[in-house]
Amino acid sequence: MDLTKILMYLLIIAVVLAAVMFYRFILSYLVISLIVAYLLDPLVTFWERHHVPRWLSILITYTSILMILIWSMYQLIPTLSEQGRQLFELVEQDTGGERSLSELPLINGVIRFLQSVDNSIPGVNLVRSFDEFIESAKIFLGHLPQLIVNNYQTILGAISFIVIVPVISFFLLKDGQRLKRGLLAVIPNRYFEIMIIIINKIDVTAGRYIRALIYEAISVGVLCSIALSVVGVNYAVLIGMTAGVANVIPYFGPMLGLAIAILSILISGMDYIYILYAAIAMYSVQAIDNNYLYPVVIGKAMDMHPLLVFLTVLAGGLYAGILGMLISVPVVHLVYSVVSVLYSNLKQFKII
Amino acid sequence: MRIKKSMKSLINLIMKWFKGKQDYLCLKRYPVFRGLSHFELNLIYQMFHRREFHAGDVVFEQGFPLEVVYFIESGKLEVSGVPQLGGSRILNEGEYIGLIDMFHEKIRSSSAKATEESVLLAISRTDLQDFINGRLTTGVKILNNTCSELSGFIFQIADTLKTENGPN
Repeated sequence: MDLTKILMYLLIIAVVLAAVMFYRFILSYLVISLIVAYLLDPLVTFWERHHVPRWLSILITYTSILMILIWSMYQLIPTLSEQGRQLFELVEQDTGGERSLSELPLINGVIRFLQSVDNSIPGVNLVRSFDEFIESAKIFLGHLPQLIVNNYQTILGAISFIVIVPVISFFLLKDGQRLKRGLLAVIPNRYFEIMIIIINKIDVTAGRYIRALIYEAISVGVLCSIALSVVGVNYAVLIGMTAGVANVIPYFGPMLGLAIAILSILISGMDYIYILYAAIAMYSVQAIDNNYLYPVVIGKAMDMHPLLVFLTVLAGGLYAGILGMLISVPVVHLVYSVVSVLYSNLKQFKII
Repeated sequence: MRIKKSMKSLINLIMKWFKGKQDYLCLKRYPVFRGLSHFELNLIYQMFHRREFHAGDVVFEQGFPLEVVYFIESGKLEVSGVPQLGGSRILNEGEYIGLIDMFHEKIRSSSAKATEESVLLAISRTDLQDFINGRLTTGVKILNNTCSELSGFIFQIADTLKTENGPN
Protein backbone atom coordinates (compact mmCIF):
# COMPACT_ATOMS: atom_id res chain seq x y z
CA MET A 1 0.00 0.00 0.00
CA ASP A 2 1.49 3.33 -0.99
CA LEU A 3 1.69 6.46 1.12
CA THR A 4 -1.16 8.40 -0.53
CA LYS A 5 -3.56 5.52 0.11
CA ILE A 6 -2.59 5.36 3.78
CA LEU A 7 -2.96 9.14 4.08
CA MET A 8 -6.36 8.96 2.43
CA TYR A 9 -7.53 6.26 4.86
CA LEU A 10 -6.20 8.29 7.80
CA LEU A 11 -8.11 11.31 6.52
CA ILE A 12 -11.31 9.28 6.23
CA ILE A 13 -10.88 7.92 9.76
CA ALA A 14 -10.23 11.44 11.08
CA VAL A 15 -13.35 12.77 9.34
CA VAL A 16 -15.47 9.92 10.74
CA LEU A 17 -14.13 10.52 14.27
CA ALA A 18 -14.76 14.25 13.99
CA ALA A 19 -18.28 13.56 12.75
CA VAL A 20 -18.96 11.24 15.71
CA MET A 21 -17.62 13.90 18.11
CA PHE A 22 -19.74 16.57 16.47
CA TYR A 23 -22.97 14.57 16.32
CA ARG A 24 -22.66 12.69 19.62
CA PHE A 25 -25.36 14.76 21.35
CA ILE A 26 -28.02 13.77 18.86
CA LEU A 27 -26.95 10.13 18.78
CA SER A 28 -29.70 9.12 21.22
CA TYR A 29 -32.27 10.94 19.08
CA LEU A 30 -30.99 9.05 16.08
CA VAL A 31 -31.19 5.66 17.81
CA ILE A 32 -34.74 6.31 19.01
CA SER A 33 -35.78 7.57 15.57
CA LEU A 34 -34.30 4.42 14.08
CA ILE A 35 -36.38 2.26 16.44
CA VAL A 36 -39.51 4.32 15.71
CA ALA A 37 -38.90 4.01 11.98
CA TYR A 38 -38.41 0.29 12.41
CA LEU A 39 -41.67 -0.07 14.30
CA LEU A 40 -43.70 1.97 11.84
CA ASP A 41 -42.22 0.51 8.67
CA PRO A 42 -44.76 -2.34 8.30
CA LEU A 43 -47.66 0.11 8.67
CA VAL A 44 -46.20 2.47 6.07
CA THR A 45 -45.58 -0.42 3.70
CA PHE A 46 -49.17 -1.54 4.23
CA TRP A 47 -50.51 1.81 2.98
CA GLU A 48 -47.98 1.95 0.18
CA ARG A 49 -49.18 -1.42 -1.00
CA HIS A 50 -52.56 0.18 -1.71
CA HIS A 51 -51.01 2.59 -4.22
CA VAL A 52 -50.59 5.42 -1.71
CA PRO A 53 -47.34 7.40 -2.24
CA ARG A 54 -44.80 6.74 0.46
CA TRP A 55 -44.73 10.25 1.93
CA LEU A 56 -48.52 10.23 2.16
CA SER A 57 -48.53 6.78 3.78
CA ILE A 58 -46.05 8.04 6.38
CA LEU A 59 -48.32 11.01 7.08
CA ILE A 60 -51.37 8.73 7.35
CA THR A 61 -49.49 6.47 9.78
CA TYR A 62 -48.31 9.45 11.83
CA THR A 63 -51.79 10.96 12.03
CA SER A 64 -53.47 7.70 13.03
CA ILE A 65 -50.85 6.98 15.71
CA LEU A 66 -51.11 10.55 17.01
CA MET A 67 -54.90 10.17 17.27
CA ILE A 68 -54.56 6.88 19.14
CA LEU A 69 -51.96 8.42 21.47
CA ILE A 70 -54.10 11.49 22.22
CA TRP A 71 -57.18 9.35 22.78
CA SER A 72 -55.37 6.95 25.11
CA MET A 73 -53.77 9.84 26.99
CA TYR A 74 -57.18 11.43 27.59
CA GLN A 75 -58.54 8.08 28.68
CA LEU A 76 -55.57 6.69 30.53
CA ILE A 77 -53.31 9.35 31.99
CA PRO A 78 -55.80 10.79 34.53
CA THR A 79 -56.67 7.31 35.80
CA LEU A 80 -53.03 6.27 35.83
CA SER A 81 -51.76 9.32 37.69
CA GLU A 82 -54.67 9.22 40.14
CA GLN A 83 -54.03 5.56 40.93
CA GLY A 84 -50.30 6.17 41.23
CA ARG A 85 -50.85 9.15 43.54
CA GLN A 86 -53.18 7.16 45.81
CA LEU A 87 -50.70 4.31 46.04
CA PHE A 88 -47.75 6.58 46.83
CA GLU A 89 -49.75 8.50 49.43
CA LEU A 90 -50.66 5.24 51.12
CA VAL A 91 -47.01 4.34 51.62
CA GLU A 92 -45.68 7.83 52.26
CA GLN A 93 -48.30 8.72 54.86
CA ASP A 94 -47.41 5.59 56.76
CA THR A 95 -45.95 7.33 59.79
CA GLY A 96 -48.01 5.51 62.35
CA GLY A 97 -51.37 7.12 61.56
CA GLU A 98 -54.69 5.33 61.31
CA ARG A 99 -53.75 3.83 57.91
CA SER A 100 -50.43 2.49 59.16
CA LEU A 101 -49.01 -0.72 57.73
CA SER A 102 -49.42 -2.42 61.14
CA GLU A 103 -53.14 -1.65 60.98
CA LEU A 104 -53.55 -3.86 57.91
CA PRO A 105 -55.46 -7.06 58.71
CA LEU A 106 -52.67 -9.36 57.47
CA ILE A 107 -49.88 -7.75 59.48
CA ASN A 108 -52.12 -7.27 62.48
CA GLY A 109 -52.88 -10.98 62.44
CA VAL A 110 -49.20 -11.86 62.26
CA ILE A 111 -48.42 -9.57 65.22
CA ARG A 112 -51.19 -11.13 67.29
CA PHE A 113 -49.91 -14.63 66.46
CA LEU A 114 -46.35 -13.63 67.40
CA GLN A 115 -47.61 -12.09 70.64
CA SER A 116 -49.21 -15.38 71.58
CA VAL A 117 -45.94 -17.18 70.79
CA ASP A 118 -44.06 -14.66 72.95
CA ASN A 119 -46.50 -15.15 75.76
CA SER A 120 -46.20 -18.95 75.72
CA ILE A 121 -42.41 -19.05 75.21
CA PRO A 122 -40.76 -16.31 77.28
CA GLY A 123 -37.52 -14.66 76.13
CA VAL A 124 -38.00 -15.06 72.37
CA ASN A 125 -39.28 -11.52 71.83
CA LEU A 126 -40.45 -12.15 68.28
CA VAL A 127 -42.74 -9.13 68.25
CA ARG A 128 -39.86 -6.68 68.52
CA SER A 129 -37.81 -8.26 65.74
CA PHE A 130 -40.93 -8.39 63.57
CA ASP A 131 -41.50 -4.71 64.32
CA GLU A 132 -37.95 -3.96 63.22
CA PHE A 133 -38.53 -5.99 60.07
CA ILE A 134 -41.71 -4.02 59.33
CA GLU A 135 -39.80 -0.77 59.92
CA SER A 136 -37.09 -1.66 57.39
CA ALA A 137 -39.71 -2.88 54.92
CA LYS A 138 -41.50 0.45 55.36
CA ILE A 139 -38.30 2.33 54.58
CA PHE A 140 -37.78 0.20 51.47
CA LEU A 141 -41.37 0.65 50.34
CA GLY A 142 -41.07 4.39 50.96
CA HIS A 143 -38.15 4.50 48.56
CA LEU A 144 -39.83 2.29 45.98
CA PRO A 145 -42.33 4.84 44.61
CA GLN A 146 -39.52 7.37 44.28
CA LEU A 147 -37.49 4.79 42.35
CA ILE A 148 -40.39 4.02 40.04
CA VAL A 149 -41.16 7.70 39.61
CA ASN A 150 -37.55 8.43 38.71
CA ASN A 151 -37.50 5.68 36.11
CA TYR A 152 -40.88 6.61 34.72
CA GLN A 153 -39.55 10.12 34.37
CA THR A 154 -36.68 8.81 32.26
CA ILE A 155 -39.18 6.92 30.14
CA LEU A 156 -41.43 9.94 29.91
CA GLY A 157 -38.37 12.08 29.14
CA ALA A 158 -38.45 10.42 25.75
CA ILE A 159 -41.62 12.42 25.15
CA SER A 160 -39.46 15.56 25.01
CA PHE A 161 -38.06 14.10 21.81
CA ILE A 162 -41.53 14.45 20.41
CA VAL A 163 -40.62 17.25 18.05
CA ILE A 164 -37.32 15.92 16.72
CA VAL A 165 -37.82 12.17 16.61
CA PRO A 166 -40.81 12.18 14.20
CA VAL A 167 -38.90 14.41 11.81
CA ILE A 168 -35.84 12.14 11.75
CA SER A 169 -38.08 9.06 11.56
CA PHE A 170 -39.96 10.59 8.65
CA PHE A 171 -36.81 10.80 6.57
CA LEU A 172 -35.60 7.40 7.71
CA LEU A 173 -38.95 5.91 6.70
CA LYS A 174 -39.07 7.75 3.41
CA ASP A 175 -35.47 7.26 2.30
CA GLY A 176 -34.47 4.22 4.34
CA GLN A 177 -34.33 2.04 1.26
CA ARG A 178 -32.22 4.61 -0.56
CA LEU A 179 -29.95 4.89 2.49
CA LYS A 180 -29.51 1.12 2.51
CA ARG A 181 -28.72 1.15 -1.21
CA GLY A 182 -26.20 3.93 -0.70
CA LEU A 183 -24.45 1.97 2.02
CA LEU A 184 -24.43 -1.20 -0.08
CA ALA A 185 -23.05 0.69 -3.08
CA VAL A 186 -19.70 1.22 -1.35
CA ILE A 187 -19.36 -2.47 -0.45
CA PRO A 188 -16.87 -4.27 -2.75
CA ASN A 189 -18.32 -6.89 -5.10
CA ARG A 190 -16.78 -9.73 -3.15
CA TYR A 191 -18.70 -8.85 0.04
CA PHE A 192 -21.88 -7.60 -1.61
CA GLU A 193 -23.93 -10.78 -1.49
CA ILE A 194 -22.96 -11.66 2.07
CA MET A 195 -23.78 -8.10 3.23
CA ILE A 196 -27.26 -8.46 1.73
CA ILE A 197 -27.75 -11.82 3.45
CA ILE A 198 -26.55 -10.45 6.80
CA ILE A 199 -28.69 -7.31 6.59
CA ASN A 200 -31.77 -9.36 5.68
CA LYS A 201 -31.21 -11.85 8.49
CA ILE A 202 -30.58 -9.15 11.09
CA ASP A 203 -33.68 -7.39 9.84
CA VAL A 204 -35.71 -10.56 10.26
CA THR A 205 -34.36 -11.54 13.68
CA ALA A 206 -33.81 -8.17 15.34
CA GLY A 207 -36.50 -6.07 13.68
CA ARG A 208 -39.32 -8.52 14.09
CA TYR A 209 -38.23 -9.25 17.65
CA ILE A 210 -38.28 -5.58 18.69
CA ARG A 211 -41.61 -4.97 16.99
CA ALA A 212 -43.14 -8.08 18.49
CA LEU A 213 -41.86 -7.20 21.95
CA ILE A 214 -43.49 -3.77 21.93
CA TYR A 215 -46.76 -4.97 20.43
CA GLU A 216 -46.87 -7.76 23.00
CA ALA A 217 -46.13 -5.42 25.93
CA ILE A 218 -48.93 -3.08 24.86
CA SER A 219 -51.48 -5.83 24.32
CA VAL A 220 -50.63 -7.63 27.58
CA GLY A 221 -50.83 -4.30 29.44
CA VAL A 222 -54.26 -3.55 28.02
CA LEU A 223 -55.52 -7.10 28.63
CA CYS A 224 -54.22 -7.10 32.22
CA SER A 225 -55.86 -3.74 32.93
CA ILE A 226 -59.16 -5.00 31.57
CA ALA A 227 -58.98 -8.33 33.41
CA LEU A 228 -58.04 -6.73 36.75
CA SER A 229 -60.76 -4.08 36.40
CA VAL A 230 -63.32 -6.79 35.67
CA VAL A 231 -62.22 -8.68 38.79
CA GLY A 232 -62.38 -5.45 40.78
CA VAL A 233 -58.80 -5.03 41.98
CA ASN A 234 -57.81 -1.48 42.94
CA TYR A 235 -55.25 0.36 40.76
CA ALA A 236 -56.06 -2.05 37.91
CA VAL A 237 -54.74 0.17 35.12
CA LEU A 238 -51.47 0.95 36.91
CA ILE A 239 -50.83 -2.70 37.75
CA GLY A 240 -51.89 -3.80 34.28
CA MET A 241 -49.55 -1.41 32.50
CA THR A 242 -46.66 -2.31 34.80
CA ALA A 243 -47.35 -6.01 34.18
CA GLY A 244 -47.35 -5.33 30.44
CA VAL A 245 -43.94 -3.67 30.66
CA ALA A 246 -42.63 -6.43 32.94
CA ASN A 247 -43.84 -8.98 30.40
CA VAL A 248 -40.78 -8.37 28.21
CA ILE A 249 -38.81 -10.49 30.70
CA PRO A 250 -39.53 -14.08 29.79
CA TYR A 251 -40.59 -16.54 32.55
CA PHE A 252 -40.26 -13.99 35.38
CA GLY A 253 -42.13 -11.00 33.97
CA PRO A 254 -45.61 -12.51 34.37
CA MET A 255 -44.80 -13.55 37.96
CA LEU A 256 -43.59 -10.01 38.65
CA GLY A 257 -46.92 -8.66 37.42
CA LEU A 258 -48.82 -11.00 39.70
CA ALA A 259 -46.51 -10.13 42.63
CA ILE A 260 -47.20 -6.42 42.15
CA ALA A 261 -50.93 -7.12 42.03
CA ILE A 262 -50.81 -9.17 45.25
CA LEU A 263 -48.65 -6.56 46.97
CA SER A 264 -51.06 -3.79 46.12
CA ILE A 265 -54.02 -5.87 47.31
CA LEU A 266 -52.25 -6.47 50.64
CA ILE A 267 -51.21 -2.84 51.04
CA SER A 268 -54.61 -1.41 50.22
CA GLY A 269 -56.16 -3.77 52.76
CA MET A 270 -58.56 -5.51 50.41
CA ASP A 271 -60.12 -8.88 51.13
CA TYR A 272 -57.70 -11.82 50.65
CA ILE A 273 -60.08 -13.44 48.18
CA TYR A 274 -59.02 -10.73 45.70
CA ILE A 275 -55.57 -12.37 45.56
CA LEU A 276 -57.24 -15.44 44.09
CA TYR A 277 -59.27 -13.29 41.69
CA ALA A 278 -56.16 -11.39 40.60
CA ALA A 279 -54.25 -14.65 40.11
CA ILE A 280 -57.06 -16.03 37.96
CA ALA A 281 -57.21 -12.79 35.95
CA MET A 282 -53.45 -12.70 35.39
CA TYR A 283 -53.42 -16.40 34.55
CA SER A 284 -56.09 -15.99 31.89
CA VAL A 285 -54.18 -13.07 30.38
CA GLN A 286 -51.06 -15.23 30.32
CA ALA A 287 -53.03 -18.05 28.71
CA ILE A 288 -54.23 -15.69 25.97
CA ASP A 289 -50.73 -14.30 25.58
CA ASN A 290 -49.02 -17.69 25.37
CA ASN A 291 -51.56 -19.31 23.08
CA TYR A 292 -52.61 -16.47 20.77
CA LEU A 293 -50.41 -13.37 21.03
CA TYR A 294 -46.94 -14.86 21.39
CA PRO A 295 -47.17 -17.40 18.53
CA VAL A 296 -48.63 -14.76 16.21
CA VAL A 297 -46.33 -11.82 16.95
CA ILE A 298 -43.03 -13.49 17.89
CA GLY A 299 -43.50 -16.83 16.21
CA LYS A 300 -41.11 -19.34 17.61
CA ALA A 301 -40.25 -19.33 21.27
CA MET A 302 -37.10 -17.59 22.41
CA ASP A 303 -34.71 -20.40 23.27
CA MET A 304 -33.03 -18.89 26.30
CA HIS A 305 -32.62 -21.04 29.38
CA PRO A 306 -34.58 -19.80 32.45
CA LEU A 307 -31.37 -19.73 34.50
CA LEU A 308 -29.68 -17.55 31.88
CA VAL A 309 -32.72 -15.27 31.83
CA PHE A 310 -32.59 -15.01 35.63
CA LEU A 311 -28.87 -14.20 35.68
CA THR A 312 -29.29 -11.69 32.86
CA VAL A 313 -32.11 -9.91 34.68
CA LEU A 314 -30.01 -9.86 37.84
CA ALA A 315 -26.97 -8.46 36.05
CA GLY A 316 -29.11 -5.87 34.25
CA GLY A 317 -30.63 -4.82 37.56
CA LEU A 318 -27.23 -4.42 39.20
CA TYR A 319 -25.94 -2.51 36.21
CA ALA A 320 -28.77 -0.09 35.48
CA GLY A 321 -31.61 -0.52 37.96
CA ILE A 322 -35.18 -1.26 36.93
CA LEU A 323 -34.64 -0.11 33.36
CA GLY A 324 -31.66 -2.46 33.14
CA MET A 325 -33.75 -5.37 34.38
CA LEU A 326 -36.33 -4.68 31.70
CA ILE A 327 -34.09 -4.25 28.69
CA SER A 328 -31.25 -6.65 29.58
CA VAL A 329 -32.93 -9.82 28.25
CA PRO A 330 -33.98 -8.30 24.90
CA VAL A 331 -30.54 -6.70 24.48
CA VAL A 332 -28.72 -9.96 25.25
CA HIS A 333 -31.02 -11.85 22.90
CA LEU A 334 -30.46 -9.29 20.14
CA VAL A 335 -26.67 -9.33 20.52
CA TYR A 336 -26.68 -13.11 20.59
CA SER A 337 -28.78 -13.42 17.43
CA VAL A 338 -26.77 -10.80 15.53
CA VAL A 339 -23.48 -12.48 16.43
CA SER A 340 -24.77 -15.92 15.53
CA VAL A 341 -26.07 -14.66 12.17
CA LEU A 342 -22.68 -13.06 11.50
CA TYR A 343 -20.79 -16.17 12.52
CA SER A 344 -22.80 -18.67 10.49
CA ASN A 345 -22.78 -16.51 7.36
CA LEU A 346 -19.13 -15.55 7.47
CA LYS A 347 -18.41 -19.25 7.87
CA GLN A 348 -20.57 -20.10 4.85
CA PHE A 349 -18.74 -17.54 2.75
CA LYS A 350 -15.40 -18.91 3.94
CA ILE A 351 -14.32 -15.48 5.21
CA ILE A 352 -13.51 -16.85 8.67
CA MET B 1 -49.82 18.90 -39.23
CA ARG B 2 -46.48 20.35 -38.10
CA ILE B 3 -48.15 22.25 -35.29
CA LYS B 4 -49.80 19.03 -34.14
CA LYS B 5 -46.43 17.25 -34.15
CA SER B 6 -44.66 19.99 -32.25
CA MET B 7 -47.54 20.14 -29.73
CA LYS B 8 -47.16 16.42 -29.21
CA SER B 9 -43.43 16.70 -28.61
CA LEU B 10 -44.03 19.61 -26.24
CA ILE B 11 -46.56 17.56 -24.28
CA ASN B 12 -44.08 14.70 -24.21
CA LEU B 13 -41.41 17.03 -22.89
CA ILE B 14 -43.71 18.32 -20.14
CA MET B 15 -44.77 14.79 -19.24
CA LYS B 16 -41.13 13.77 -19.05
CA TRP B 17 -40.39 16.74 -16.83
CA PHE B 18 -43.29 15.79 -14.54
CA LYS B 19 -42.33 12.15 -14.34
CA GLY B 20 -38.73 12.90 -13.39
CA LYS B 21 -35.88 10.51 -14.00
CA GLN B 22 -37.08 7.24 -15.44
CA ASP B 23 -34.21 4.95 -14.55
CA TYR B 24 -36.64 2.13 -13.97
CA LEU B 25 -37.38 1.84 -17.69
CA CYS B 26 -34.20 -0.22 -18.06
CA LEU B 27 -36.15 -3.08 -16.42
CA LYS B 28 -38.55 -3.17 -19.37
CA ARG B 29 -36.18 -5.21 -21.53
CA TYR B 30 -36.27 -8.22 -19.20
CA PRO B 31 -39.05 -10.69 -20.04
CA VAL B 32 -39.69 -11.30 -16.32
CA PHE B 33 -41.06 -7.78 -15.90
CA ARG B 34 -43.16 -7.87 -19.06
CA GLY B 35 -46.56 -6.21 -18.69
CA LEU B 36 -45.75 -4.29 -15.52
CA SER B 37 -46.96 -0.69 -15.30
CA HIS B 38 -44.51 2.16 -14.82
CA PHE B 39 -45.63 2.49 -11.22
CA GLU B 40 -44.85 -1.17 -10.55
CA LEU B 41 -41.54 -0.98 -12.40
CA ASN B 42 -40.54 2.04 -10.35
CA LEU B 43 -41.43 0.28 -7.10
CA ILE B 44 -39.41 -2.77 -8.02
CA TYR B 45 -36.52 -0.65 -9.25
CA GLN B 46 -36.20 0.81 -5.74
CA MET B 47 -34.94 -2.60 -4.61
CA PHE B 48 -32.29 -3.00 -7.29
CA HIS B 49 -28.58 -2.40 -6.74
CA ARG B 50 -26.34 -1.38 -9.60
CA ARG B 51 -23.03 -3.28 -9.55
CA GLU B 52 -20.08 -2.73 -11.87
CA PHE B 53 -17.67 -5.53 -12.69
CA HIS B 54 -14.35 -5.40 -14.52
CA ALA B 55 -13.27 -8.07 -17.00
CA GLY B 56 -12.26 -11.19 -15.07
CA ASP B 57 -14.07 -10.24 -11.84
CA VAL B 58 -15.84 -13.09 -10.10
CA VAL B 59 -19.56 -12.41 -9.73
CA PHE B 60 -20.29 -15.43 -7.59
CA GLU B 61 -18.75 -18.81 -6.89
CA GLN B 62 -20.03 -22.35 -6.75
CA GLY B 63 -20.78 -23.62 -3.24
CA PHE B 64 -21.57 -20.20 -1.76
CA PRO B 65 -25.04 -19.22 -0.52
CA LEU B 66 -27.47 -17.91 -3.13
CA GLU B 67 -29.17 -14.65 -2.30
CA VAL B 68 -28.80 -12.25 -5.20
CA VAL B 69 -30.38 -12.48 -8.67
CA TYR B 70 -28.37 -10.66 -11.34
CA PHE B 71 -29.83 -9.01 -14.45
CA ILE B 72 -27.23 -8.09 -17.06
CA GLU B 73 -27.57 -4.50 -18.22
CA SER B 74 -24.40 -4.43 -20.27
CA GLY B 75 -21.40 -6.71 -20.80
CA LYS B 76 -21.05 -10.47 -20.79
CA LEU B 77 -20.91 -13.17 -18.12
CA GLU B 78 -19.40 -16.62 -18.35
CA VAL B 79 -21.28 -19.16 -16.25
CA SER B 80 -19.62 -22.49 -15.51
CA GLY B 81 -20.56 -25.35 -13.26
CA VAL B 82 -22.43 -28.62 -12.92
CA PRO B 83 -25.83 -27.77 -14.44
CA GLN B 84 -24.37 -26.11 -17.55
CA LEU B 85 -24.55 -28.29 -20.65
CA GLY B 86 -21.13 -28.44 -22.22
CA GLY B 87 -19.26 -26.98 -19.27
CA SER B 88 -19.95 -23.28 -19.62
CA ARG B 89 -22.25 -20.79 -21.26
CA ILE B 90 -22.07 -17.10 -22.08
CA LEU B 91 -24.83 -14.76 -20.93
CA ASN B 92 -25.41 -11.53 -22.82
CA GLU B 93 -27.16 -8.23 -22.22
CA GLY B 94 -30.82 -8.57 -21.30
CA GLU B 95 -30.35 -12.02 -19.75
CA TYR B 96 -30.33 -12.90 -16.09
CA ILE B 97 -28.86 -15.46 -13.71
CA GLY B 98 -30.26 -16.95 -10.52
CA LEU B 99 -33.95 -16.20 -11.00
CA ILE B 100 -35.06 -19.78 -11.58
CA ASP B 101 -32.50 -21.17 -9.13
CA MET B 102 -33.79 -18.94 -6.36
CA PHE B 103 -36.92 -21.02 -5.99
CA HIS B 104 -35.18 -24.24 -5.04
CA GLU B 105 -31.55 -23.60 -4.21
CA LYS B 106 -29.82 -22.19 -1.19
CA ILE B 107 -26.30 -22.85 -2.48
CA ARG B 108 -24.92 -21.75 -5.85
CA SER B 109 -24.51 -24.66 -8.24
CA SER B 110 -22.37 -22.70 -10.67
CA SER B 111 -19.82 -19.90 -10.80
CA ALA B 112 -19.99 -16.72 -12.85
CA LYS B 113 -17.28 -14.43 -14.12
CA ALA B 114 -17.45 -11.19 -16.06
CA THR B 115 -15.63 -11.53 -19.39
CA GLU B 116 -15.69 -7.80 -20.13
CA GLU B 117 -16.65 -4.56 -18.38
CA SER B 118 -20.19 -5.30 -17.18
CA VAL B 119 -22.99 -3.56 -15.34
CA LEU B 120 -25.34 -5.87 -13.47
CA LEU B 121 -28.60 -5.06 -11.75
CA ALA B 122 -28.75 -7.06 -8.53
CA ILE B 123 -31.82 -7.80 -6.45
CA SER B 124 -32.02 -9.76 -3.22
CA ARG B 125 -34.33 -12.71 -3.52
CA THR B 126 -35.75 -11.98 -0.06
CA ASP B 127 -36.77 -8.52 -1.27
CA LEU B 128 -38.17 -9.93 -4.51
CA GLN B 129 -40.17 -12.61 -2.73
CA ASP B 130 -41.46 -10.11 -0.15
CA PHE B 131 -42.49 -7.91 -3.07
CA ILE B 132 -44.29 -10.80 -4.81
CA ASN B 133 -46.06 -11.79 -1.59
CA GLY B 134 -46.91 -8.22 -0.66
CA ARG B 135 -48.37 -7.05 -3.97
CA LEU B 136 -50.40 -9.89 -5.30
CA THR B 137 -51.44 -8.43 -8.67
CA THR B 138 -47.87 -7.46 -9.55
CA GLY B 139 -46.56 -10.65 -7.98
CA VAL B 140 -48.81 -12.83 -10.15
CA LYS B 141 -47.56 -11.03 -13.27
CA ILE B 142 -43.94 -11.63 -12.29
CA LEU B 143 -44.59 -15.28 -11.40
CA ASN B 144 -46.50 -15.77 -14.66
CA ASN B 145 -43.57 -14.37 -16.64
CA THR B 146 -41.14 -16.54 -14.66
CA CYS B 147 -43.23 -19.62 -15.46
CA SER B 148 -43.27 -18.86 -19.17
CA GLU B 149 -39.51 -18.30 -19.07
CA LEU B 150 -39.12 -21.58 -17.23
CA SER B 151 -41.23 -23.53 -19.72
CA GLY B 152 -39.26 -22.03 -22.60
CA PHE B 153 -36.09 -23.12 -20.82
CA ILE B 154 -37.36 -26.67 -20.36
CA PHE B 155 -38.32 -26.99 -24.02
CA GLN B 156 -34.92 -25.63 -25.00
CA ILE B 157 -33.21 -28.30 -22.88
CA ALA B 158 -35.47 -30.99 -24.35
CA ASP B 159 -34.50 -29.84 -27.86
CA THR B 160 -30.82 -29.90 -26.99
CA LEU B 161 -31.13 -33.43 -25.61
CA LYS B 162 -33.07 -34.57 -28.69
CA THR B 163 -30.43 -33.27 -31.10
CA GLU B 164 -27.67 -34.82 -28.97
CA ASN B 165 -29.35 -38.23 -28.81
CA GLY B 166 -30.33 -38.29 -32.48
CA PRO B 167 -33.83 -38.23 -34.02
CA ASN B 168 -35.09 -41.46 -32.43
